Amino acid sequence: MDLRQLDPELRRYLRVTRLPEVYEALLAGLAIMQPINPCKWIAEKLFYLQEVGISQIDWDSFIDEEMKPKESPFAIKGVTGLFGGDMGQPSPEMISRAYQHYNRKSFRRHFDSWLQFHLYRRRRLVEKRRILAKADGHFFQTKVGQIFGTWLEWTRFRKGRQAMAYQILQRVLHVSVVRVMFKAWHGVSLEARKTREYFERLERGDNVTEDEVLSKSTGEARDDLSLVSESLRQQILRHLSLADMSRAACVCRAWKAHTQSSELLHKLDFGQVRQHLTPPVAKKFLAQSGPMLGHLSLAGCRDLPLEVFQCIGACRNLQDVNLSECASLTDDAVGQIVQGCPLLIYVNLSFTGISDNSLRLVAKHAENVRFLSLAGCQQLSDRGLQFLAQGQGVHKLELLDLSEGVQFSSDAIVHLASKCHKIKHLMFNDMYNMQSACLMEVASHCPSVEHYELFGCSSLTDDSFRAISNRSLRVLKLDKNDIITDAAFGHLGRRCPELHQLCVADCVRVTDQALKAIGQLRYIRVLNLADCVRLSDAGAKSIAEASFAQSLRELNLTNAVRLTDHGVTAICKKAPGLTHLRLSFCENLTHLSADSLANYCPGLVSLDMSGTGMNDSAMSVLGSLSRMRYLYLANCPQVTDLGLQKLVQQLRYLEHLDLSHCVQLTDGGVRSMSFSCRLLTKLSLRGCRQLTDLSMQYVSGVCHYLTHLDLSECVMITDKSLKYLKKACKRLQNLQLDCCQGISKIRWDPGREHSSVKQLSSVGLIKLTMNITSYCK
Amino acid sequence: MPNIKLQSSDNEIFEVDIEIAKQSGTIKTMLEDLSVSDEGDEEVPLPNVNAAILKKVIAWCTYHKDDPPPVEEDEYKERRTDDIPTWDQEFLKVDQGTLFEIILAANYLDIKGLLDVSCKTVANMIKGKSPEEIRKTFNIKCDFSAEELERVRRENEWCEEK
Repeated sequence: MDLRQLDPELRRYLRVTRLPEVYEALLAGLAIMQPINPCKWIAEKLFYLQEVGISQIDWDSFIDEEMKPKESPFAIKGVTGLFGGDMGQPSPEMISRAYQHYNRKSFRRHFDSWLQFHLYRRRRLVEKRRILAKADGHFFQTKVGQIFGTWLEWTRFRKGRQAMAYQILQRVLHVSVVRVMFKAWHGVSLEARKTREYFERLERGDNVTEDEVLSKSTGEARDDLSLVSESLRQQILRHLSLADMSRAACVCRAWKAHTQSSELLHKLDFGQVRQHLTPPVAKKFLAQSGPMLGHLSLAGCRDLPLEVFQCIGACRNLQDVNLSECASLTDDAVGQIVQGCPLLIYVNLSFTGISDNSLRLVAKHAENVRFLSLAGCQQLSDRGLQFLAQGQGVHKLELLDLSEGVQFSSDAIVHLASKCHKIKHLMFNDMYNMQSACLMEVASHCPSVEHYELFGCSSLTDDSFRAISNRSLRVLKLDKNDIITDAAFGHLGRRCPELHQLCVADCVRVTDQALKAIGQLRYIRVLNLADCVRLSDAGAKSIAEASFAQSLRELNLTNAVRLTDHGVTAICKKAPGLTHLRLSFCENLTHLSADSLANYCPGLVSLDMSGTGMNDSAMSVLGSLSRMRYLYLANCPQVTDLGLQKLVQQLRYLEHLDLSHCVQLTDGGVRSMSFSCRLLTKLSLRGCRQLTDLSMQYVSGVCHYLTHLDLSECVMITDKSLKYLKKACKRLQNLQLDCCQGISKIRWDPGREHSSVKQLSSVGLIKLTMNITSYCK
Repeated sequence: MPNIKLQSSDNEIFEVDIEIAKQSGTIKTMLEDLSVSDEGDEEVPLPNVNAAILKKVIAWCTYHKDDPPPVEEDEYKERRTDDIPTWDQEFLKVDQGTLFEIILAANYLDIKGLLDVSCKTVANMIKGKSPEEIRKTFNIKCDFSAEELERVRRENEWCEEK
């Protein structure tokens, strides 16, 4: 029998009381011990058991020690099996296993059911979303449908309205066009009637003066020029040549009146239009001006006939006549003019073929002449000067120009001078035979000359300078004299306190002592000592210490090869008012000079540092001279793109720039230059051999004011550059392309134009220089 | 540097350095004659110049305030119109109305340099142009009748290129 089938109460009882074990022990004892009286043995053993307690029982507890077998005589299973034994009783392990098993099972079951539930929920969710999306789509489409419908309706409505408006506008336009046409036609017909009336009136001979008619017809004169005041208009029109004035006269009636105002007729300059001038035109203008003519210039009009000069004679109030280079001028013509114009004050007969007889007539008739120029009149002789000296008005003469008059003898000149006490300006340029003695005599007769021009008088000595030094001398100019020494300057320094302008160029014997000698003069503003090669720092220091240093404005020390930075610094420190300075080819100058210039002479407008040791650092310093407009840096081979860039960054208003033979310059430098200096008018890049067409692209892209450009010896320039220039530089007047091998060969005769020239011909180019021979070698 | 207040015709006030303003002969005389104090508390009224033009004029004077006197050259200089400094050319790149207003203002204010360059600029607008081009430039209608036109053209044909 299996105990597991028993009532659990009973099973618990059996387990607690351990009855099976007790029985087993008793049975095992009985089997082993085999007592004689089993009942008594059983009772004894039960008493024993009662004493020790049931918990001590084991299957062999009732067997004596010596008889204890190794194993229970019963199959344990047999006894325990009788009561179900331990097998009936689940061990804790079994229970825990059973529990675990049960737990797992229930967990799995729960999980399964949860999973099912979850999947079900998910399915429902997805389904719900799908339905919602569908609903949204449907809603959106319905909405779009509605909107589109509305829009369509609105558009149709608008189209309808536009069509209607268009029709209305068309109608209005039509009406107004008709109205405008009618108005214009009305105006034209009125105009025509006015004109007809005017001509009828003319034919009838009504004496209306032209001016009145013009002023009446100025209904049209609403343009800006006609609206400004008379004096302003004349100020503007004064700048026009006669040719431009004539064209302006064709514009309208008002303008015709403007061009004929008496103020403008007061001055006639035929020199500007000499290539168009014909004798009839000249005569017409002279006749028109008549007594109003005050100033007349015929400079360079080479072939005017006698009758034109006769017409001049009819202008009685002429005061100023310039007949310079009138090749056809004859003595007769001069006679006509001086007889007809008694008021002449200025007479310029330079470079004409007149003879002594002319001067006789001038002396006789033109008594008021004060300014007389006879420069370059090769036909004149001493007799002419004698005639002049005998004239009534010779003592009034203030200016006398006898330049190039090498044929005059000293005596004649002195004789004439002895009559001219008031003379103030004397010009004896290029009279290389002029002797000191002669000039001394002249000076002794004319004590108040203010202005001497003695260019090219190479025979003068120091003594003549003592003679011409007088208290009123203001301007003295001479050059190319290798006789005068420092002593001449001593005379000037002591005796000419008023000297303003001194030009002593190319006089090789002048040394530093000369500058010391003129140190006490106070008013010198212009000092030109070009090519006086002996000058050095000592001379520069003398300039710095001189009384005139403060007022010095222009200084030219070109080719003072001994001059160094110390000298320049000394001058700069003491002459802060310098505006024009030339230090070209002073080879010893370095960037230190540039430092001094930048520090002490902020007013420099023009600076020539050609052929000096200027380098990039000098360039960046010179950039701070913000008033600089004209800068010449030719032959400064140390200058690079970087220096140029630093220079031009600050000098944005440069107008002239000379970078000839700055051989390190490349397209990059030209690029920075052209983009900074938009206002350049003259630019020289001669001999910058690294430049290519790209440079010209930069220049032409920005520098639209260029008038002069020198690209000679830029061997990489090609016809492309000309194309760029033609396109953008409309003001270019002068282009030099000597030795530009890249420019296609040009045969430069006026009749035949080559393609490259043709490219430029529309620019208004006045001068194109190309030295072909040098590269056709 | 003391300043001076200039009042344009439309009542705008410009404060200008006194040295700049003195380039105008009118203002200079005014200051000297009236001995206006340098404090600049009073405005100088310029009833003939409006604000826009006055601004331009002041800009010109400011740029040219440090100009040195011209190079000592011979007095008998040819009249030239191509010697306008490039800055001035750029400055006078304005419409024609403004240009003439600048001329009027320069004349009124007696600024010789400005008057000179602006007159030259107008002259350059006429120079080298045919009558038709001039009419277009200045918006002028030719009011000559055919006969007159023919006559005036004949009178002036001498200057045309042959």
